[in-house]
Amino acid sequence: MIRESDSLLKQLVLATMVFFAFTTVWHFAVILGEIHPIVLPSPLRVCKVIWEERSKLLGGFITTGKASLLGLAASVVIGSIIGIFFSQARWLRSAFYPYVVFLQTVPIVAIAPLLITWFGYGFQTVVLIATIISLFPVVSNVTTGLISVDENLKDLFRLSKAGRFNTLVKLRIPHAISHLVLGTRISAGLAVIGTIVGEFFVGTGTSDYVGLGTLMTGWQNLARTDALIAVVFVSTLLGLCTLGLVNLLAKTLLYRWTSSSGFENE
Amino acid sequence: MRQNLTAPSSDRAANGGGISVKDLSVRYQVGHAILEGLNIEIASNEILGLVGASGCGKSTFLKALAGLTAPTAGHISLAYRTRDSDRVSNHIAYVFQDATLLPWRNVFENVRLPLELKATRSGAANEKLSVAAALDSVGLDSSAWHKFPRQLSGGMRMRNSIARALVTDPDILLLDEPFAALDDMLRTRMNELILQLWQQRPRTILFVTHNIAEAIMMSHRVAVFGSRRIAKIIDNPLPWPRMSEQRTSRDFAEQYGIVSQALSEVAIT
Repeated sequence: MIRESDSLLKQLVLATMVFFAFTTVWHFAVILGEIHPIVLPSPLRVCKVIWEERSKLLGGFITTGKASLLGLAASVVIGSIIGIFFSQARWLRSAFYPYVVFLQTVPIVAIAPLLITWFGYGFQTVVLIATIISLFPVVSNVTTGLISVDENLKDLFRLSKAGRFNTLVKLRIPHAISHLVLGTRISAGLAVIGTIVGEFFVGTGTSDYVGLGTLMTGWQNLARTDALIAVVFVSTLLGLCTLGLVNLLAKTLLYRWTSSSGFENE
Repeated sequence: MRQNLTAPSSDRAANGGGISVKDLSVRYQVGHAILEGLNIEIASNEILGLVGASGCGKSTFLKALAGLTAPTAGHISLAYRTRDSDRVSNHIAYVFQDATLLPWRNVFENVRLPLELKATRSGAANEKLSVAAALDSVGLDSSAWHKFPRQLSGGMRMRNSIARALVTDPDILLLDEPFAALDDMLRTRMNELILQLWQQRPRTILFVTHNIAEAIMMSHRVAVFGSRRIAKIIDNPLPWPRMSEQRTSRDFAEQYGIVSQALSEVAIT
């Protein structure tokens, strides 16, 4: 855990130093060990490839980013609706929750080929896979948030003879927003993974779709290790950007609801 | 209407807020009674202090009166000043031990909540006036209105909570150990606030506390809870209006002795 007394600058300097130490070791290991570039290219070579392939990588970043964000957005919307549905009655949860868990336990790589068969080699299937893989954290967190409201607050609403709708809109949903953000943070990473997995199955040559996942399969076939490492960096960057976007929304648009829960200090 | 500021009115037809409880029983599980055969008559505008050991059913009694817990047996009748039909839903207000404010709403919006939940709303301008009046009455000035609960001190949070309870102008106010978490200075100030609010607008108040001095200062009568029912009701002869100086009076010391004695008797049996 990072202590709060550590200043942001100090953290940043330390983290950067570790990064440079790591790349330096990597660089000299490759040079001194005379490792073949197909096995492990040097960091300089990877940098060079990032520059040479910048338009492909940028295009992949944008396409995969779009699919991830769309999948994530669909998860947030669909997951919240399912959560609201679940929050309405205990018997609904008992009846349907096992199937949501079941959906979660089905390995996505197992159903991806099926989805490709049904929905085609394209953007929509990739988004669908991203949605399915990132749905569960939203559903479970939103449901928990909606039903874990303080008893006294519920009494306060009952005392005012507040109906089901008012209790939902003025109490349960505002209370669940910080839980939604927590779920979405987990889902953000999953949506990127789901998109790239989807793109593996879409592959190259079957359509004009170019995402980070299709770049990976393409470059793997050409044994371009340097480009593969480059695309790993770009994928990581995409994951960070997605998470950053979720955090940014939580701290700006949703600040009123998330600030009281204190989780941004974690 | 002339308001009697010294004693509660026994004329329940004219004044709302009277409470009559007959043979009230509450059981959460079979064989495990929280309240059993509880009887009490509370006059309109009376302040009743409720004391007793933890877990003796004081809070359950308040919840039953508020309709938050269904009685297993017995009967509760409440008299209201039903000026208009909508008020029926807002004649009872409850103040919890913790302020139970909605953390995503500021001071003003928290007080507005009961008005928003009413079946028929009276319009934004009227609501704003009611909220402002309630906030003024508890001493929260407009500089605090846009603060969120996490930005408030414990005392201010409690004032916020009381303002929310008063905004619908209830006939009956139920206070469930509202000041237990506050320090003595603040507790005394809050007691004075409640008394002052009562003198401005008398209403029936039930006040649960573990603090005997508070129970005496704040009430016309003190109900001592035994296990599952009210064991003793002690009349409180201290003159009105109540002042903090009375805490050092002979009458107060005597009354303190009587209530403590009753409490210890209940504890033994």
